[in-house]
Amino acid sequence: MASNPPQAIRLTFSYQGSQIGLLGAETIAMTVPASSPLAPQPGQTGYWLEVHDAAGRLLYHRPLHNPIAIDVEAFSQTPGASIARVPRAASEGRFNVLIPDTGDARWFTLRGPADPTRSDEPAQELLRIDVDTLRRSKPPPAPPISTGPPRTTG
Amino acid sequence: MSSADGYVSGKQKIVDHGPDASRYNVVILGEGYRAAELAKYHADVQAFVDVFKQTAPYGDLWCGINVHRVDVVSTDSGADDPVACGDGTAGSGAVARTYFDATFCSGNAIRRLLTCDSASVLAVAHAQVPATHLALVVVNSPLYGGSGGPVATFSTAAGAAEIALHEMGHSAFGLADEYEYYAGCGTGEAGHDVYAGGEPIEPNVTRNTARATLKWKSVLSSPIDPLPTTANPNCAQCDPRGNPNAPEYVGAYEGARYMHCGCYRPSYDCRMRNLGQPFCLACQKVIRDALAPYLPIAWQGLWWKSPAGSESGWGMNVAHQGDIIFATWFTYDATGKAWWLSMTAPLVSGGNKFTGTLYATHGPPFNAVPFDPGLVVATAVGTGTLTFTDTNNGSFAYTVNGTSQVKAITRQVFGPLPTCRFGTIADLATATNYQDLWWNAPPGSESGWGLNITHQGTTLFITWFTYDVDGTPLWLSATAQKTGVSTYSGALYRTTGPAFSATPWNPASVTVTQVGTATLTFANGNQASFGYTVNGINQTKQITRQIFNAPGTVCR
Repeated sequence: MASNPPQAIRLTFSYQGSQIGLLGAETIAMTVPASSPLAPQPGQTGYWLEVHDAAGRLLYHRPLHNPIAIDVEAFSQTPGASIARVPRAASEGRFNVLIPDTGDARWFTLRGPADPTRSDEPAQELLRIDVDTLRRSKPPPAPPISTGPPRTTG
Repeated sequence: MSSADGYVSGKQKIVDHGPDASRYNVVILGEGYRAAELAKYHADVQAFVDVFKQTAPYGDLWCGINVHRVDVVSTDSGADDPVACGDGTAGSGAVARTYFDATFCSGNAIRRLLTCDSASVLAVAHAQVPATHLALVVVNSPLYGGSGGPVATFSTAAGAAEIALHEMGHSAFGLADEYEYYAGCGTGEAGHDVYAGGEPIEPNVTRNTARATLKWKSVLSSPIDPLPTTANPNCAQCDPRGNPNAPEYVGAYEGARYMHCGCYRPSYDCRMRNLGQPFCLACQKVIRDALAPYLPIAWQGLWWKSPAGSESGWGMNVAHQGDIIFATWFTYDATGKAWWLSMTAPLVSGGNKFTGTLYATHGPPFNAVPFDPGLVVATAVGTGTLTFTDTNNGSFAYTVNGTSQVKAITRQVFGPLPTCRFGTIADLATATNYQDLWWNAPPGSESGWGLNITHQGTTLFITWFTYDVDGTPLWLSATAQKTGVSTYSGALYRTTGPAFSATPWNPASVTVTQVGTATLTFANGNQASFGYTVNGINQTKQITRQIFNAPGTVCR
């Protein structure tokens, strides 16, 4: 007998400066990457997501690389030469994360620096959302998608 | 709005390793291709996929990855290329009406910064492939450029695919940048001398150099070399010295994550430090760990007619490495003599169907010393197809010498079934389950004979495919029990039975005769001695796993 396909929830966030908001969430039949084998420790820096059960046990966590982009990577005029970073003019945008939708998942948390420009400061809890709320959420509004060539009139 | 500048014309799953729900789905979208340029787009995507597959460790993990190509047609070709840019460079001034609004000199900062409307990209990717894990955009421009963030963007210029590979390290695996500067070495930058913050969450950078707790301790090159491997003598600048070790050496090198000192990286160089470099072994392990859930369970093991026991006496050994199966079918010829056929069967569709040519092989007698592989002769006798319906069931369809049959097959179970996966460990010596195809060591030295080991609990079932004294195919089998820490022994049997084509196939007609004993002693997970006595002849062979698609498959 075929087993049920794995379920995941894709969360879409928008941010402006240090303000982060949930735009929507969507349950999808897909497999999430393995939880990181390195458990987060107090005082750590950077961004990561966590999923906890109702008792507070950590079920899943993964690092996130600069979801709130304050700068960008720039690549040399010479292909293959070194990489550098340049500050970003406007700190606003969107990002997605995936979490496993397992029966015991209760809380989603996003951790990171309170000030996105202080990546050396210990991460704090930036968001905490009940997974049941995510399951009931709607997908984020999507831009229109054109699926055919423009009609011509004769 | 940009979607007025084109349309999504279709999609194609160009690397198909099974259901999207179970695999890691990479979605590639085109930008700046007119309808007449879609053939070029397809070739550009394939060129990237070839690079992607050849980039370690993705090749080892390939059977866990699906790649989807989304065809997006733009009104104009290329991308915007503003005349003026903040870095002082001059562009062509091109303004292209494209679906995702790609532009060089994004944010008026750096000419090579090529971005597009990532929200639109993700909306299209998610609409076309709901189980998208990673979206990449290839921009139809010969100008070098690219960017990271929610989607990785890269142009078709030579070497620009490296940008995508680097950015995938960030967005898919949470890897940190390993370069030790922000604006560049020699820029006189301030505020990047010594890292004083907490331990970074990223798995490939650290401020901790204690061997016992180092993040990448499992891939350190030396158990005794001092850590850190290098210390920057002048934290006001990048460490200008060369690598004191081999390129692949893993230790703890000072300078990483935009800081000259106080933060360490695993290797001297890595794709997360410089484009064009391979991922260091620590980053490779991070990628392997993250993608492990997507690797399909290998169908490696011993199979027989379904329902179990209904045709006891013949079977099929499957060695499954990535997209290739090597199958050894042990059965009987028209006279009832033990006969084996072999087949190298590549994946042909859907992640579960493998087809190949069946060969009957003649060679030197099992006791020939030396065994000359040059005397082995393989003759094609037909074709075979293995189709698996789930982890433990499938069918074997074959045509041999004009006879065509289809047999339902299932795993032969005599103990706790291990789970086998391709590509999960690079060092086979560390494996503790020995289920695999083995041959004489060193590899290839006696190509033509082999040993299939099925390992369940403390029992090995061995089928030895070799040659009789007259050079005809011969297989012998043994059920070997664990008799020591790493030793397994049992009686060796020769079997006769109904011809492979008999209908019905009557297992009661199978006769089993003991001809000797076999002992396997394992030095490690990839090295053993095979000692046997057959009709009074004693020999010992050193054997190793037969790897026809590195790094091989390991069962647990």
